[in-house]
Amino acid sequence: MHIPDGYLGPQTYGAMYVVMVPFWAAAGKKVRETLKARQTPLIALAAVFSFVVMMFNVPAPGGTTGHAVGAALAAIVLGPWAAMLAVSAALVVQALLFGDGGVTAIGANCFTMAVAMPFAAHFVYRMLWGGEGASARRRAIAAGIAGYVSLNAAAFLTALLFGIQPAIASRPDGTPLYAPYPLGVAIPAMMFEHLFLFGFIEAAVTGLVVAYLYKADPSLFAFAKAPAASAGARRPAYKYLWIALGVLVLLTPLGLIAPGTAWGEWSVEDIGKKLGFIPAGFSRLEGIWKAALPDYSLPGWDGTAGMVFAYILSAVIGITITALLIFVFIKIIAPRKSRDAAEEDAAWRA
Amino acid sequence: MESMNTDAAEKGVEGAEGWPAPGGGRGERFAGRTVRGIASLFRDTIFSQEHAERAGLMQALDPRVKLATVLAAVVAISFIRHPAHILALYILTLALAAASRIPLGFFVKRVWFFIPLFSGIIALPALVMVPGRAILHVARIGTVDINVTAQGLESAVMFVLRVAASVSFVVLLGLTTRWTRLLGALRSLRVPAVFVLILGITYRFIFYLLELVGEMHAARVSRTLEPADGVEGRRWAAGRMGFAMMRAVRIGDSVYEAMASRGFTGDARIVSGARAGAPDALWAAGAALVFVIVFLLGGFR
Repeated sequence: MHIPDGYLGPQTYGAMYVVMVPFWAAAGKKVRETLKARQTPLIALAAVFSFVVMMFNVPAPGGTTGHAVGAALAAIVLGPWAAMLAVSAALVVQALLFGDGGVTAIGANCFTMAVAMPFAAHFVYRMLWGGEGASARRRAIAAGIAGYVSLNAAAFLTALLFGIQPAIASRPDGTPLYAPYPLGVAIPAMMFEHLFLFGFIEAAVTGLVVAYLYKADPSLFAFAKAPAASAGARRPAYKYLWIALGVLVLLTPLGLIAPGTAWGEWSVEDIGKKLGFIPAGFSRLEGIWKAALPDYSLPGWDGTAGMVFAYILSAVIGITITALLIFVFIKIIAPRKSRDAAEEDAAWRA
Repeated sequence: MESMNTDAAEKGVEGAEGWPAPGGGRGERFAGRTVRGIASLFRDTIFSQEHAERAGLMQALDPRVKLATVLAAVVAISFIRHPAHILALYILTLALAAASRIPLGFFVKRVWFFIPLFSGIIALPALVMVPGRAILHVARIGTVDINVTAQGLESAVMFVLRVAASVSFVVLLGLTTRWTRLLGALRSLRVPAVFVLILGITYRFIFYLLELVGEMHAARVSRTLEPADGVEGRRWAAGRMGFAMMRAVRIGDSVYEAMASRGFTGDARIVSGARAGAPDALWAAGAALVFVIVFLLGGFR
């Protein structure tokens, strides 16, 4: 799933780098809080492990063999933030030294395999793991499902990055400049092989390794401690907010029924009709930014079903990106003080 | 690594005296594949680092300047909109390889196998799938015409060339620079020192852990009389991964203790040791000139 150079245009790979910087900064901060000075060699060895996992040939159904990414495994054992740094380091070494994966695509590869995959795996695992006293079997199954879901999430994001290239970066005559396949081809192509083959390999690897480690050395799981008990004492009822948000997302296609354009959101054609002419500034700046999802639609998906789907997809993508950015931003500007520092403060005041 | 029985692991033939050859024949090949993959990674790394010691053009440059110009080249390639300019830059990499005493056959094989080749294969359907002006009729399925379009051809060619040229520059960098120096050069790109330190430790210990993993797989290959089925093989492979993780964490602890006993407190300082000189200034000027020429010839429009 490593994206090479030349598949993504500068708008895409540049944007991915920009997105990754706050994640890397936040991960560095977060890991420093939990591991202190020990973290440097530990992260490095986790990166080594991540690199090595990608070299394992695993028997797959049908007599073939395949590879696993291992990011889900790293997230479950080491925690998502440490996993993010470790997988990022492995990806950088792979790209720069071993020429596996593009150099401009490092930001994008890190986003799919070092951010999306570990966090997805972490959340799925936490939903299913069964708590501190759960059996090894329960943990292993939870880990396997986490591996399957997270790998496919990463594959979907990769397909998304590929699929928007023709829409945002083509010559005026329609020649795609980078990855030449639109979403309608990229998504099925990538998802097919990941839903039906690589997903199972990742699930098997993640589940089996977690089962093995649970028996061989359970202390390893201490790195990914559950959130502190004090924080969990009175957690607000976010569940209802999420449900409400989900309902709103599903209702967004209602906007398709409304006729006309919102006041002030006119396109160049609308302005031309309203005024009888097009101001020079308008026509000059018109095509300057090619959106990935123009007007919340997927290029080429013009039927009603397509537009409804595109609306919902836009809502999900917009919410996810906004939430992630705010989350990371808060982590950077207002980090929760580590327990030691808080205790020190309390001791001084006493 | 010569002790690894890689050839026998791949062959499904009987060994001497009718005993099944190690590796279990047709049924179980994953372990042999892993061994072979690890062995060739070691081999490629050793060979590529040998090239870094030769007295060639790029080997003489400061790693930081080299890294910056190669990255600039790859970024520039991503902005070019005409295949002819990309082709010119690709030919430039061949010239640079020759000037750096890298055998061209080796260089071409190293670049093209495997990413550009793979990209070429996946770009083939684009010839007929990209909508546009038809230039070659291929087939007719029912009432649908399958044609190669001008846009499809142009985009496929540009795509493969872009990938090949980018990979060529990065491979040139990797072949002509000692990798520890290359990682250290990342400091000049404002990568935090701690991250560069992590990358350095990562690089060093990759081979350590790979050797362990390779030995475990070679041990299995040489003890296999009958292939195990996929389920058992997966479980075994996962067990080895788990063991590798335990080892990795333990090594991490030892490395930390070794570093702490030598004064490590969490901060890192990367010493470059390289000094940029006249050849580097000339090189940077040459690179800038190439980009300006491409710009003036309309490559970016």
